[in-house]
Amino acid sequence: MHPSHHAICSILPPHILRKLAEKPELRERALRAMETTEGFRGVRRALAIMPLAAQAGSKHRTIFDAQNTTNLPGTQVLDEGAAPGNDVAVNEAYNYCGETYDFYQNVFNRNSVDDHGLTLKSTVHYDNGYDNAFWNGQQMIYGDGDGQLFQRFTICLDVIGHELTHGVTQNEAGLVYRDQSGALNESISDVFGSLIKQWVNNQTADQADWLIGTGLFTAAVQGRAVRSMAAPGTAYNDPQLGKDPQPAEMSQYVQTTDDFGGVHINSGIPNRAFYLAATSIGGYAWQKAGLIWYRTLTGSLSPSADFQAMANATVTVAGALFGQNSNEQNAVRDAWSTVGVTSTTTQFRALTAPPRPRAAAAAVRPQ
Amino acid sequence: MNIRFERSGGFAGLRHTRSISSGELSAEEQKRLADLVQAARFFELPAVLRSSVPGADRFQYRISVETGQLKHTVQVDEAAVPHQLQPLIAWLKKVAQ
Repeated sequence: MHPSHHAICSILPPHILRKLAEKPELRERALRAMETTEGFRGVRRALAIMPLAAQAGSKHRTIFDAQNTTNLPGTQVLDEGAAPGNDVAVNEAYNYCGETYDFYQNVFNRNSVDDHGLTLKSTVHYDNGYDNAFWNGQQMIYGDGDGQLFQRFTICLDVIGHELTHGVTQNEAGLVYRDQSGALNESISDVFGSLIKQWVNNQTADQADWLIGTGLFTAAVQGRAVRSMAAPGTAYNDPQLGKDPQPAEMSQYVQTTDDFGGVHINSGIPNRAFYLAATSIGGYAWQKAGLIWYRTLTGSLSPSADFQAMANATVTVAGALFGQNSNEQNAVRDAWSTVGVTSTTTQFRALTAPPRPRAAAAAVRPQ
Repeated sequence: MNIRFERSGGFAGLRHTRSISSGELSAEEQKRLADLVQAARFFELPAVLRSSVPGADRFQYRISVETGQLKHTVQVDEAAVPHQLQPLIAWLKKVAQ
């Protein structure tokens, strides 16, 4: 072992080490560093990524049809580059998945959910009248909806962006899907789901609706969307569904054993923090606020992070990217403070990952 | 027999609850329900069944069954439903609609 090489590699964050590991001449050195770097979660994972390495920028989508069963992945019905058929759910899953891939590639230079070109698998027509979409750790799955309350779950770009982002989170911070870390996991999926929609629609923060799942409810439901990032708790109020239960600040945090500790309820708090930061900073939300959240997700955040840790980490990353006490850092700090989470950044400063050298692409939206 | 069936979670994070008393069911359905509870070996199931596989936006169920002196509640992740419990949950989902 060469101590000088090891020292250089071991201060690099895992995603940089993974990139280095793709280069044959650096692979052995990077692997050694990954095995011993404190921030990297396990040798097994270090070895597991090696066969997944693919060409940079390779988009590969495959859509399957479960034919109203729960068998996964089902029958393959569309593969990358093939001509679309007549099934609207298949085409939506393919197209929106493609826009989500393009967002991550163009804005953050990220190659798929694992940043190594992993094939994006989606299954549509899961079960009968199934009112849900989910990420099962390997792929996305979409139900047709019951038709009474819900439309098909492929109908919204931000829903597909939300599901794919669960895969990104799984490959990065690995946020435990329970209680506050689970609510952060949910919030990050809403944040990037919304940003993908804004990017596709070329909307600035003040032009965006900051709603999640607009159009997913049928016309029979009294509601604008499933969640509101700007005003959690106001997305719907329906005789059959009840009122949107999301809290907008920490004092209203909901303690429950339902839904893995209320992960879809308490996500309203970090969702609103992001909305407040993004609208305070202004401009295209993916360029600054989105970049801060992305760097936090791919940098120092631990799997058990709570809202306090997220606040500290985002404030620290904002300072590293835009300067201490910059408008951007102050906007992030104030946003968390408004939702009842006061950041205490000093203890996290040392853990912050350095900026990704290739992220200059994030500053400009290609058109 | 009284059953309470709750479903929480999923992408929309909605909570659905349905209480069923066997008295409100036909004789045929009462027998069907009793058979499903027995086939599930419901009273032998642990109180919490969690999935160990990663994932997100899955449903979570809480099922309470009370019959005679027996009363038991099971909270189970959608991805962790044991094979023998699947028919009972399928029946409950159908009835709860």
